Amino acid sequence: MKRICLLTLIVLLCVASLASAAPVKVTLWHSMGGDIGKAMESLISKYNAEQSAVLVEPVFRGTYPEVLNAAVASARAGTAPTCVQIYEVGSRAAIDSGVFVPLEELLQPGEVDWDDYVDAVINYYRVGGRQWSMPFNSSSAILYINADLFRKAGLDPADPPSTFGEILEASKKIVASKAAPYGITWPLHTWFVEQWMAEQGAPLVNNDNGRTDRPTTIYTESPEMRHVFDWWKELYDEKLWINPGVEDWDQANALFMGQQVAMEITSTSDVTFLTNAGRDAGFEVICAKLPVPDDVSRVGVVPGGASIWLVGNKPQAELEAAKKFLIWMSKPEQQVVWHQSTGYFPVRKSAIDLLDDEGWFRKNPNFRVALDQVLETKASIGTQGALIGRFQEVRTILEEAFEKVMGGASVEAALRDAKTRVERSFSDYNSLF
Amino acid sequence: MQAKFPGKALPYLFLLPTIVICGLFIYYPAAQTFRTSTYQSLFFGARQRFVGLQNFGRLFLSPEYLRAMAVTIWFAFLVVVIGLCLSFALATLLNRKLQAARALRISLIWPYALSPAVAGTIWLFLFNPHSGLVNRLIDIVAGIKPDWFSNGKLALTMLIVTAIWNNLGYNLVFFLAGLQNIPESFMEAAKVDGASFWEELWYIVIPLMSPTTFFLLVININYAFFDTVGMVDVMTRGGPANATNLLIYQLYKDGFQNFNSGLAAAQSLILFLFVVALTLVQFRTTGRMVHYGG
Repeated sequence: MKRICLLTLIVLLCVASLASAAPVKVTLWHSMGGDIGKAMESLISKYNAEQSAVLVEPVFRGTYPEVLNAAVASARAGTAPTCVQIYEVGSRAAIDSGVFVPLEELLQPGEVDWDDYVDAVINYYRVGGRQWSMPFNSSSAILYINADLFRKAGLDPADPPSTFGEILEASKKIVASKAAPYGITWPLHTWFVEQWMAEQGAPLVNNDNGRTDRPTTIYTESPEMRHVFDWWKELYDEKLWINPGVEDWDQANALFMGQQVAMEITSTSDVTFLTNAGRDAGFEVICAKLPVPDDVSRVGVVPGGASIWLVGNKPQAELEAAKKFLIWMSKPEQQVVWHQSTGYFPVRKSAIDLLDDEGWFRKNPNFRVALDQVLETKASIGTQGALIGRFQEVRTILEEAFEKVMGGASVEAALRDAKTRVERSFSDYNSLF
Repeated sequence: MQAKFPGKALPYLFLLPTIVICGLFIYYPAAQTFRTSTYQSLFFGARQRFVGLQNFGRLFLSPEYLRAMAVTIWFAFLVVVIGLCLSFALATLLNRKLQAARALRISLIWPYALSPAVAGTIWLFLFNPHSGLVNRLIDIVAGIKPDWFSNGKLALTMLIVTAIWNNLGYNLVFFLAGLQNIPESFMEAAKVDGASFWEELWYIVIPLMSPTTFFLLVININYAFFDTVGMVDVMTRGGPANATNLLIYQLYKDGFQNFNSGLAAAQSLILFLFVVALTLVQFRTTGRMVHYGG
């Protein structure tokens, strides 16, 4: 009898502990590979260890477009994850897919203090007055300088080039002094063109950068766009800019680390990586703001990176759990860790204060540059960033336009042709609605 | 002797698994592709609108697509012709009684074990204009360092070299097997008649190898058209200026990056019909020259 009592007790205890410990499972599909991926997963295991109500399972699903495609396809098949990391330019397509639920709909009033989020980020991810997703990893484009090569070329790394004209001048000196075979590089990527349009306060596409309605045309014939392409062509023609390949971030980094160039423009998400790589290779890396066209007052940058979205057709308990997790991920403490281990800038103002108190920016001025540029960004249609359904197609078309310029076509002809192609892509897309 | 099935239903029962699998994984998707190709759609039909043949019209009126077609045909032609000749030559050499023949065979067949994406990565390093082995050798010999990634012709050459290398092992295995199946007596008879190496090759080996060669021709064309997408993605992403934009890569871009599944389905159909037509032509022409013996 005693035995039976004991057994019953044990069974009861087990059942009770199981019932209380059965956490709600939340899956997250993301695109963070390599070291950044490890940083992401360690944040998530910290969350899983801290509490027992929610168990988050991160899954690396390849590049940003792949993740978005896979998520929409799996949602139609009924096997979607709970949350999906979607790159900034996938926002329009994500909304149009009808698969995701606006984060705002799940929030109690005051549950998230949106005022504490960096303005530029909120401006980007707020679409049609609604907060669709949780901002997580944000970046912008900055200039990286090899200070040793700069000194060798007789340039002052403490006074980095800040305009298109100064980049030209500095590159010429670098090449002429044989400090490096080329002056500068950046991936042949439309993202940079988008940034330079924003710095001039110019929208990329019509209908207020696609914010009031889906766009029908692109401003490739605007003086702002011409300015960027003309300068880029001049750098290429004079063999001052080296082409690392279309959207080839790694090759651009390789050229900078291999000291084939003295300057590189790339994402802030590489601050940690490039600063360390420079130290390992024996040169000092200094970061500076993105150079802008001459005689233009800086308007600001468009935050790149990604945010995390919730799939709509899920049990309420799972969505609630996912929401809790997303709120936790964007808390200042986590944003501090995330920023320090990657270089993505914190999306919370209070996270920036925490970093300041810690003295982080005094010790790591390179990180400060990346952040200042974002904080100083003025709200405008240009810096809000364009919303385009098939954004990647637009990027490809503009990249091909520059490749045609490198092949000898005139900037005017290449951009005119690009405009026709983009308009056709827009009209095809818009015919779906 | 001929065995008879008891009852008429039994043979169909045995065929059922094949029919079900083919239906589910080949005919149903093919029918879906056909359907999708007549729609303008977002994300495999998250939103769609019937547009008839508009997608095909878009493709055939697009200079970029026609250019991709020309590039693909040229690429496939070179990959197949050079690939087959080279592997045939290597197989003939390897079939002789060599020291270390086994080790040589294994090392030459090895590349086939690598996926096109991995092969692409390896050659990406080798062709790196600044630190790659290829340019180091060219620099020593000719004193130049060509930029394989900025020049369209060079980029295509690089891709062709990689594609041939990657499939060399597969071709070698079949050629070697074919060569070893040639009866010894034929060769002895030829030797008795005083035939030279080249005569043996021309009058005995090549005719007897024709079934293998024909099989490999069809397989290699399929390889060049379809399996190279990973290689292109890793090495050039279709650039510079679309010089290496193969049809299959354009399809990948439209379907998976531009979320335009209707246009991608139309391209998939075009590719399919193209390869079917090519294969049929081969069966009618080259196929007639094949000697199956017996």
